[in-house]
Amino acid sequence: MNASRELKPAHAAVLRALEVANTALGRAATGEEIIEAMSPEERQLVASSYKNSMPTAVTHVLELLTAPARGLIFSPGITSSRRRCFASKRILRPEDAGLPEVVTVRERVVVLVRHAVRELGRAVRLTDIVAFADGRPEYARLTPAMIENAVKQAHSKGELAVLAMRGNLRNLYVPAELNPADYAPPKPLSWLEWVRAALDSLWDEHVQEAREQGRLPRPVTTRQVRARLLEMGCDDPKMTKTAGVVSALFDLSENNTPTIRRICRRSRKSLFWCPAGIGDLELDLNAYATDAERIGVTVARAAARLERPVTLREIEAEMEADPSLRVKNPATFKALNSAVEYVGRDGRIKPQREYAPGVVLSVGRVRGRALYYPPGRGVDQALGYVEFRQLEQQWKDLRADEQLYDLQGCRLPTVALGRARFLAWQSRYIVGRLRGMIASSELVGQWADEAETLIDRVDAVAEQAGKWPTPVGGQALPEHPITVVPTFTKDELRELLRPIYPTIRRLERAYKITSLLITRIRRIAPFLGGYLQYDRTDTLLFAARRFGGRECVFLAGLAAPEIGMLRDASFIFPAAEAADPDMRLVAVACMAFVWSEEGNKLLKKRAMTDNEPGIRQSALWAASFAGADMAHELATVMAKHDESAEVREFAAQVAAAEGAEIWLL
Amino acid sequence: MAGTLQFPKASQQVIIETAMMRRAANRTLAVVGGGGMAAWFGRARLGKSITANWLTAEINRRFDTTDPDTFRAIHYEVGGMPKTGGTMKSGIRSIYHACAGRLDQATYLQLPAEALAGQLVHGLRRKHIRLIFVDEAGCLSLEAIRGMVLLRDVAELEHHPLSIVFVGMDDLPAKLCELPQIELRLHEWVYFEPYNLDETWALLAELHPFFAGLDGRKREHQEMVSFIHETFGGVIGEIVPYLRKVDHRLRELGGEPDLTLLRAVHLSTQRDKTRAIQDARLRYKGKLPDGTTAGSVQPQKPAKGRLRVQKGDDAA
Repeated sequence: MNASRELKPAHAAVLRALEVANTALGRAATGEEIIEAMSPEERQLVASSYKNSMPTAVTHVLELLTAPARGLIFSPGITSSRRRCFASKRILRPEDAGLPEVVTVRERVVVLVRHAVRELGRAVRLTDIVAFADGRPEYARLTPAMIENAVKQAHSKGELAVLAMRGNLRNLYVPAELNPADYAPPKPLSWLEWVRAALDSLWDEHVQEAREQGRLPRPVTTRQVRARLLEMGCDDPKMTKTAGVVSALFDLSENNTPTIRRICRRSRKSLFWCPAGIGDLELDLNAYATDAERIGVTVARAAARLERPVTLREIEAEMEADPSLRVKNPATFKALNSAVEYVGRDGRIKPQREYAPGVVLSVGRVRGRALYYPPGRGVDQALGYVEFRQLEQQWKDLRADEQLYDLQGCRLPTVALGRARFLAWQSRYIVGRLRGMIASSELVGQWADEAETLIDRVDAVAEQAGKWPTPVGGQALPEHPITVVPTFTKDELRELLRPIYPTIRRLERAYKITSLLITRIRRIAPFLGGYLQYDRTDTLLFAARRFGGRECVFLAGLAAPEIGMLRDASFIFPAAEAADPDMRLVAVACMAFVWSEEGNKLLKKRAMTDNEPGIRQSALWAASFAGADMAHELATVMAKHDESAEVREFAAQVAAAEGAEIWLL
Repeated sequence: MAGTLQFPKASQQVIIETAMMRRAANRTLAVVGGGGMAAWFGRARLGKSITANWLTAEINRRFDTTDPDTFRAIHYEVGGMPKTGGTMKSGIRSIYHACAGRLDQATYLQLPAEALAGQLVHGLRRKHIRLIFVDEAGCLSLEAIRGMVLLRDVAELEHHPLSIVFVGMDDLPAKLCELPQIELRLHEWVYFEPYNLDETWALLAELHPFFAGLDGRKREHQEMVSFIHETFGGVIGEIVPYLRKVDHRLRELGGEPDLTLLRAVHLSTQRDKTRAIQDARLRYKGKLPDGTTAGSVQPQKPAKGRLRVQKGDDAA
């Protein structure tokens, strides 16, 4: 440091910048890096001392400081790009002073190709190399143009080997030390190649099938090509485009040397395709005798192909694929309806039409879509499949991931615990049922594998929900929440909503309520069977938010996101005594809509003893709304004796409210 | 340098009450009584949000249900709202979410803005909330701000005076002054400024024990504080993370901070930032900022010729 004090100001500035750069980089620094480390004042100082450009001046000063007479800095060497590096003896020891790693672009690109080939397991195109480099910070400075040039250079220098041109493909590169033939791509690399491969595979099958059945081969439809591409595991992004397949087929049939032929019939929607050179007379476009027969064969064929019951849409797709199966009656569903039999809950077949027995079975509904299956072998598995899909739908409807996420936003920890336990119980039920179906061979093959996958997912959620931490005060809560949901029948619902819901007042019959509220209020199947009934809490929340007064809407708004599907009020009670007034208010709101005797007692206690006037008012309203004993008398007393004038005024309104007027407060 | 990983020490957030914070708090509280509104404006990272958070905590700590002069406050941050084209209801919904929980979509669609405001005032009254800090209010559309003003008016009509403080940057002042309905209801403006050198020195002394022991008469110490002040322009939100980085580096190197270390820590970040931006510009669709492609630019050759020394040299 003493030596630097004797330095000229410009030299001292360069030395200080060098030390800053050495400290920042942890290695020797080039002239550029030293200039970068200089403060504006230091730059000005050096610039005013030398007429040369800044790099020249700095390099000159560094050379002076390196001189043995000074001995303040040293140079550990030059980089491969011929830049000398410097380090301060005060900051770095000579043995620690590494150089910046600089290699040529070509060398980096050869490494890049090696990585890409190793990663992809095949020879790579230029586009593959560019895509591989994209997003990797070590290749961030390589532009596509640089990569292209470097690849060409590396190839000319023998550092990269080339796989011979293949069809429409461009050159494929591998590092020179690898044998290109070992790295030939195992599957098509371009979209057109994929489509062509799918069509060829289908055509071979059609020819084989036709030979076995002693007829001419049928042409291939676009839909079949798309399905085959999916089966082949085509991962080209154009697969997701609506018109991707048909555009590719048009391309293949319309370029200078078409390899396939398009067959277009004015009466049919579908386009047909076959290899170029196959004439119309060499193709079969015939059909069946009756619609029932066609439908029967169609369903059997679709079910055999998909190995499961099929939807109406899939039956239509099968008909589209084979023109001979198209029904004469244009209303496919009507034709199907005349051919169908139903399988009841007891598993017995119930014929719907006497005149078309045993053609198709309707084995159930999933998400409102009927599923059909041919009678005979495999009906048990078909029923198992339907139940599996229904359970899967039930699982999706639970929105377990969303619920688990929502739980983190719950303001009442005990309610979150109750919801988690309820979710765990539901998940365990689904897992149990699925395992039973696999054990009894109701689910086999790929559906059993899918069910196993679903079991793993559901199990994971059940485990996560089951491990939900028990908050303070939650130790005494039940391990399994009450799963029985209190409900309203249609008549009860009508009586409840009639005073506040004008549309219901106009309804003459109770059954019409269903069509009015089916999408708004959750319906539950009663334990002992019978008609679906309306979830009581869901009904109250719906009506409160739709027709309620300010207090009613406010508390419903607090309660609805908090309780979710939990109907066990015991999980709310601990929060009613919480120290945080926000939590107590939310607990009061929840108890207003999840009715219970214990809850009503707690509401009255809150109304009388809570130190927050706002909570006293809400609790009084909630007790009155939930039909607590003596709630009216309590309101009368509070209207006279509560310490807060605001509460007294509100209590008087509650006391004066009769019947449904409590909704409007 | 690239040795084992150095994990940071867990540190608790410490709020240092500054003169600026107390000034902002007192001037704002002066207008709360009558339900007046206020605007806090200033560049990013100057401590506006921290001040709002601190004041909210203080107000809530002193709240007493038996004392009618006390009340509760809420501080929340606006996010994800359109800067233009929002509706009055969207402004009210924003506050509803912060103060009274999630707002049911059906209620939101069904009620007109004034009824929604009345509903929210009911909730605010239940919770004794009379002061709301709307942070990042520069992100709000003019219509959303009008919705908040409507809320204040409805609260006033229902005898529950409510004050809203808009905290933000961007074009907030211009936006607030665009409509007289808003401007004339703003009774207080607080402008947050960067710290000057003396304030920065005092703050550094509070934040870091090393800086607490600095001597104002020593040139080296003056240089260190000046460097920090000039580098970060007295912006507290940038100084604090920088001090954490210095601490982290010191754990690696040992010893005490000096100007070289302070500059080196800053240089590491600044150098990488510059390179990242240059690189992004170079690679973004293969274009340079001036529109030319990367391949078409020739690197500038260094000047050749003899070295010319202006003020003499000690080479000989």
